[in-house]
Amino acid sequence: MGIRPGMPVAEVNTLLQARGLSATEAMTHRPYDPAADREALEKLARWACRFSPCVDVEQREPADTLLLDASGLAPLFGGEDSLLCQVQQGFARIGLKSSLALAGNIGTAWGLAHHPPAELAQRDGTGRTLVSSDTEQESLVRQLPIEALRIPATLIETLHLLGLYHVGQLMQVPRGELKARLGMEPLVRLDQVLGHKTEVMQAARLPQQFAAQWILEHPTDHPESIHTMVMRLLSQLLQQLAAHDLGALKLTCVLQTANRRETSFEVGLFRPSSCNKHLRGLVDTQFERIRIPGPIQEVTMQVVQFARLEKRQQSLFQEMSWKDSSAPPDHSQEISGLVDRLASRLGRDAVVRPRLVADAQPELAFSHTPLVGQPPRRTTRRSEFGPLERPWQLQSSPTPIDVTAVMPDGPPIQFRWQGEHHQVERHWGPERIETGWWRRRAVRRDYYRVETTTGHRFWIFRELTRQNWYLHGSFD
Amino acid sequence: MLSTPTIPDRAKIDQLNAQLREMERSRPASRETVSCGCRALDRMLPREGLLRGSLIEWLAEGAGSGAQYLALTAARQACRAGQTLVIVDSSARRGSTLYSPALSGMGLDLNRIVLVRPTDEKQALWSLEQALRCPAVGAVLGFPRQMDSYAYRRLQLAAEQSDGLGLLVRPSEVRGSPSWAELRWQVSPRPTACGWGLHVELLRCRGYLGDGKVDLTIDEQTGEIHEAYSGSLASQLAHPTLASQRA
Repeated sequence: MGIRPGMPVAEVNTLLQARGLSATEAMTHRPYDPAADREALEKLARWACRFSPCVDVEQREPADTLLLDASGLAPLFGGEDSLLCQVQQGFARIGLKSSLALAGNIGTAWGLAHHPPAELAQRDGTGRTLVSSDTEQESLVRQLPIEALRIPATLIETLHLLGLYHVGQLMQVPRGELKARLGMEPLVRLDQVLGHKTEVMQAARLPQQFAAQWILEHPTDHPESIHTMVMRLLSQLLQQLAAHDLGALKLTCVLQTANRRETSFEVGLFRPSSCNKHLRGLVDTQFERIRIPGPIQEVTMQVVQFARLEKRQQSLFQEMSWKDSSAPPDHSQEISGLVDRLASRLGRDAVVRPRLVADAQPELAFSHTPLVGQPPRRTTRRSEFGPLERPWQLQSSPTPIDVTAVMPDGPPIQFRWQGEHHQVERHWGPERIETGWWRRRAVRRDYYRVETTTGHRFWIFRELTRQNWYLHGSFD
Repeated sequence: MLSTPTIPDRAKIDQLNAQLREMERSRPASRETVSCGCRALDRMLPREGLLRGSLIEWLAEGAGSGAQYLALTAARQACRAGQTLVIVDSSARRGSTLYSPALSGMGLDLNRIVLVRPTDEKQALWSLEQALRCPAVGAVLGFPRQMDSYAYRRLQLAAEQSDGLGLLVRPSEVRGSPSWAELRWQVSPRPTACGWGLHVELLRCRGYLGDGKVDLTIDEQTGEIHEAYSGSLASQLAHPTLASQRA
């Protein structure tokens, strides 16, 4: 259709329309995000660690290449060609088309992967280039276009203007001339591709993973044996964590039967912990609840979330210092223990920290965040309301009530709620709340705090669109 | 042979009495007290405050009666030294929830509140007991409806173990049922001209036979709880202590 890389979107739209295609249907476009690209490549680098112990994303911007250190790998994969083949198949399995090259140095491999030599590419047409000897490498490098040198586009243009199209041509230019006219970069790249200058690769750092697995030869459904396995795995994981000074925040355990039926449980913690006894207790409560689906063959336990352990200085004379100091003893350990116990029995969402949310709509002005399974956050927001301005019990949803008001827009005189008749003695308001239009659920309310003749206090509002009354809270 | 009754000396009897009282308590009475957040209420109590490691009950007369306000004020006092307040909010099942903006407006630090939302009464009692047992918790606020002597005893022991304060707000329908709590207040609102009027009656106080009743007023702006003055405004203003405060 004539669409090329680097074309403006408007031009592409015109081209599509010329062909009778609607631009919105035929094309999706996204803004260019180099940081996201690099991130995705880094993720891919971690994936590619299955082939080589040392995988790196190239340093050049924009990065589009993964570098794998292949020294000593060939025998493990049954030869160099087989290695390339397996890597390519691996990428194909995750839906990626790859162009690969294996060579004696990074520069050559990069150049060959980006610009596969015509005769080799035609020979197998697979997008794999394998350099078997140094002499072959030399001749291949000479034939490479200068684009294969990892130099900026402006430099390539200059070289083209000078009539230099191949690395071989560039090699014939005296080095002093090159340096004087074009700076150091072409020389450095040339030396790298020829292997005169070594290049260092940094292995992509794997995120630490803590997992332990136990596979049984003979599956069992004996609960005590399974329990023992789970506990041993837990101890293993905790030892691993302790070695890195880390504590677990969230653990998952998956029990799998021979016919791939699974049951799993999760343990979340309030503060990172690597205390064997504490975690054992939590795992125990969860373990009691699961139903074992059949003979278990495989038990996998993984630390999904972890964080650095909070260190506290131990006092040498604990008893004495506790008595001497007027400050209350530090109880953070006990609190996290309590929260973990509550959450493991009642569920993660049942043990929460109330928070304020900046929203004018009263029922949306707060949130409940679970305390376990996530790093602690503090809130600094404080309510701007006076002590008696908001009810401390809020109805989950406003309850419709019958209200008598003297004037159509006036304050309430009496109302019925839960079958009881309330006569309003005093009222404060109206406090008008009009908000939520951006949620497409606009609310328009006039709130009144009312005190009945018996002294009871309630929070009621008139819905202004339909003129209905609701009770929203009570000062219990 | 006839035994002649010997009359022991007075000091011995006093000593034995003291021992008996000591044994009646489940723990030695050397515990610190927490203010209710209101002088008038403190004055009614034998120790001039709420004893740490005990259970306090507030009976609320219907919705909108203000009993929770007194309980939350006491909780704020108990957690002054940076301890945690655990609220076991079982009201969610009854169609309402504790409203955090109001708690923050009362001066409670939300960072130090752990809100527990159990799904049934049994879990609520279990959570109350667990929270009371924790030494880092300054006060535990709960809304249990049904409580038998067994539940009371468990909560009481848990509170004693940690020196925490167990605050229970319950409906006034349970007024006739026996209580093992240290204190039981009945709170009912009363109409007043200014502020919010509450009538508080001390139904039960261990080791104290007084029949305390007091009228309180909550200030609309500051939220402070004062004893309501009986008599006219003019005489209030002329009251010597007040006049000296104003001067």
